[in-house]
Amino acid sequence: MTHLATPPTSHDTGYLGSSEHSTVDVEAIKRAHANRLVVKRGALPADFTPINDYQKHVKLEITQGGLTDWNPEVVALGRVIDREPFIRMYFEQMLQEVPDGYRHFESVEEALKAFNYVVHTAPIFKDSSSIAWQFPLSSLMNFWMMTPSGKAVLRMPQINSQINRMMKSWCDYLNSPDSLYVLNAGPEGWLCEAAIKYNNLNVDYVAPDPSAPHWGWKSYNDFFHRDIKPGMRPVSGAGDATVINSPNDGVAWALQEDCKADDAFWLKSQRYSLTDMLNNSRFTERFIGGTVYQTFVNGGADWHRFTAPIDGTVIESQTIAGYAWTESDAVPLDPESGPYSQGWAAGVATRALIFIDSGVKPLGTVCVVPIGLTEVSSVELFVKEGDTVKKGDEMGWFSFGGSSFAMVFEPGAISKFLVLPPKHGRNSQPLDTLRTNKQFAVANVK
Amino acid sequence: MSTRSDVDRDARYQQLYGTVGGYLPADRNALHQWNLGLKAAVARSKQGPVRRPRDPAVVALEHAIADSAVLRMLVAEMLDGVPPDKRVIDDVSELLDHLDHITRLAPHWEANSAKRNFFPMSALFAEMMMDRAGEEIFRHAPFNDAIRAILRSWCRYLSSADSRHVLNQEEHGWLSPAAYAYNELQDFVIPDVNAPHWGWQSYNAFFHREIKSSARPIAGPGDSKVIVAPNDGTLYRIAQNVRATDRFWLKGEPYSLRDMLGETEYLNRFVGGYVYQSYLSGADYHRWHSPVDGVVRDAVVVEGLMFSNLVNDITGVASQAYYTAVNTRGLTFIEADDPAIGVVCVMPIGITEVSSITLTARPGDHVKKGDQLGYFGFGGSTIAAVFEKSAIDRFLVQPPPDYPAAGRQPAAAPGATPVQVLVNSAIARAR
Repeated sequence: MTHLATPPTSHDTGYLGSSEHSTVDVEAIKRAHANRLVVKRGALPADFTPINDYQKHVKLEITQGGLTDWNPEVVALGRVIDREPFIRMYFEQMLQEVPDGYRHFESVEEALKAFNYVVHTAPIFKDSSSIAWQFPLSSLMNFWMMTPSGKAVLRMPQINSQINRMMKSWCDYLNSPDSLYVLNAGPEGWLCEAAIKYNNLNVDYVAPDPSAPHWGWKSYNDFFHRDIKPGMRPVSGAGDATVINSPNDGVAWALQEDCKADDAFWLKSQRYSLTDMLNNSRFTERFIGGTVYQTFVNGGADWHRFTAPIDGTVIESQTIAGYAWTESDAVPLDPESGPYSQGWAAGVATRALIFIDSGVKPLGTVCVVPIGLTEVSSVELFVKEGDTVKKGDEMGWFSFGGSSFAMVFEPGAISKFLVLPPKHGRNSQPLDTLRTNKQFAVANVK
Repeated sequence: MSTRSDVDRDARYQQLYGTVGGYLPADRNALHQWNLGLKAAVARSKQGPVRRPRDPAVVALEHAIADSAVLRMLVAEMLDGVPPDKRVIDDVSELLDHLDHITRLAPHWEANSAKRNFFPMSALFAEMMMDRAGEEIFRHAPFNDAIRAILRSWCRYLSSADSRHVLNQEEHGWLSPAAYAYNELQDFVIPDVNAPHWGWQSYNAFFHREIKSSARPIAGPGDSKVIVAPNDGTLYRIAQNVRATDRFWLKGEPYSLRDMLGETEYLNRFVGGYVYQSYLSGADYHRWHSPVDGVVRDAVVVEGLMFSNLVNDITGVASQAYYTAVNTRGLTFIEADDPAIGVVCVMPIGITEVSSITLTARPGDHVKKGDQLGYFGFGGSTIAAVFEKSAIDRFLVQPPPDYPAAGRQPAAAPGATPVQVLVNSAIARAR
């Protein structure tokens, strides 16, 4: 049995304090959970059992040892928790507020060990029904982020920015050959029959060398944002300015017209707030009164790169390190009125902004917003200000994690959307699919 | 929308430090009336011929709110948490106007304790702090840091001659007969009773005025075994066998030395030792003194929270020990001349309003028992003194027996008789 080399904190852990705490009601947490963006989007199961199983697995791993290295960013997270007494208070309360039966990590040190385990591992396939194992950090933090103290502490800038650094470090690991061990043909590997089918691997994608170990991929992320086969995402309407293509694979989720510069995006109405979404860009004004169209990228077979939806010139691009583990306070309110947190994600989450000037009126400028929602939440861009793009040109990719996508149009830019998100009561309706490079809207062009 | 009942909100209000300490009106409706009065004053000031631009620290808060979606949500939720019959602030702009107005406001004397309000900013925040967003936001660094900068600005005003107009002998002046009696000014040094404002140069100069040495005689002069109180105050608690790290937020509020003292070479000396804590009320003397003869080894001010309370569903607002772990505080480590006492740490802690702490004794200074160590700027305060385990033979004062078991501030605990201790009086015998 091996113990971790250095303790993350200098605390003695034999507290005098009683176990006094009030846990969150399990039924309330289940209702809220069923309504979350990550669940609606299929990045986490609605059922707690597999999530709980994953947590038990992590608990067993950290209890049995086997890991001797501390990731420096996890150690640094321990220091951030330790430095401010009220942050430690919130963090420990968060752990204690998790309901009985779901509370596997009782102390800051155990939580840090669990983080350390996750950032030293790559996601496994397990099987197609066990999504929880494909999204380890979301599964680990599932109950934490739904507790009152967890909500407060995970949106503290000190904690959020250190968790972002930890995720960056995990991303480095997933970019390295160390993460290749999960690309195997065993029952939990990403190259077994079931996983190949789940990811549509043989139909849609290019493997560097299927006869080489790990089929020639250099890392887990290399596999995650793999190349598409030529011809699998044909470009619609080349040269036709009225044709707007989808920049990504996904499902239509929300459409809102007449968007305001500032809106209460955290309320259950989930109005988009352009100033927040566009990070005070100098181009924000153009979009006031305009339209936001949001989609989700599914796990599994969806392609994890995005392309130019129109021809034009990139007039601004930026990536924004946002909040990865927060959700709108409105989430538990009303399970029937629709999915929550999409406006929140667009205004708060880690994301990139690519402003493309079409050069034609009234289409004008289109802002493409890839949003990293969970896990490493990393968005990488291939384009920069000044670049000319044509429909179908690759503009960037997502590293491992759940993702969403928004597009912002100027007022009067769009004549018609060809793929519409479901309206009210959309929780129970099927979602319409979008394909990268396929037309989804008609532009107004004079 | 408020998530707490009006009865619950009343109970919380009565347990607030500002209410217990006599700085806020005893009647919560009077607080509301006061806030409405301030709102009218803010409106009037906006109609004047010359408008002062907003204080730069208030503008900085405005930017902090605009720049952070999370903070905007918390502010909106905090404002929305105030029930309609107590709502005074409708939006962020109005909140900023009130804060700006307060940075140029000196408190007025009020004889009627039901209506008395000496804490304008606590009054503004009192109803907003009672819900979850209001609890969180005062621990949310971008907000807390911006509020601290506003308090600095306010402190500059209160330390300037512009603030001394409230030092007058009229009905609401601090030199009126009723205020004189309330503050026991006969015990204090009045710079020049014939000069305007009796010679005080600012409101803060009056607030931390000096006391006559005859009014606070030093117990056991020359006897190193007699340890004296570092401050005037209501005794909150004497804790023994305190731990290096503890869950200070739990019922019973255990002291957590490492949170109180931060990283210091002296930490281990205090493990297993004692914490003596008392809090100041409106009329108390706002300077503190050395409890022992010794050499100052370290003297620092640690910036922390100011308007945060520990609210526990079981015990209500129970914050005195919580403040020692999280609030802005001074730490003065004194190595006693008597080796049996070892090192003593005197910890003045700011609560609400300007939370300003000035340490006058510097490292290397030799202080005698009763020598001044520092003073508070305008605001609430509590003081802890930390002793080594081997230092104390016995304490000579005791808090009310039903406290701290009740988990509350003494005056809020039913049936408790507050124990008042004066600075320089004997509190303990050293071994």
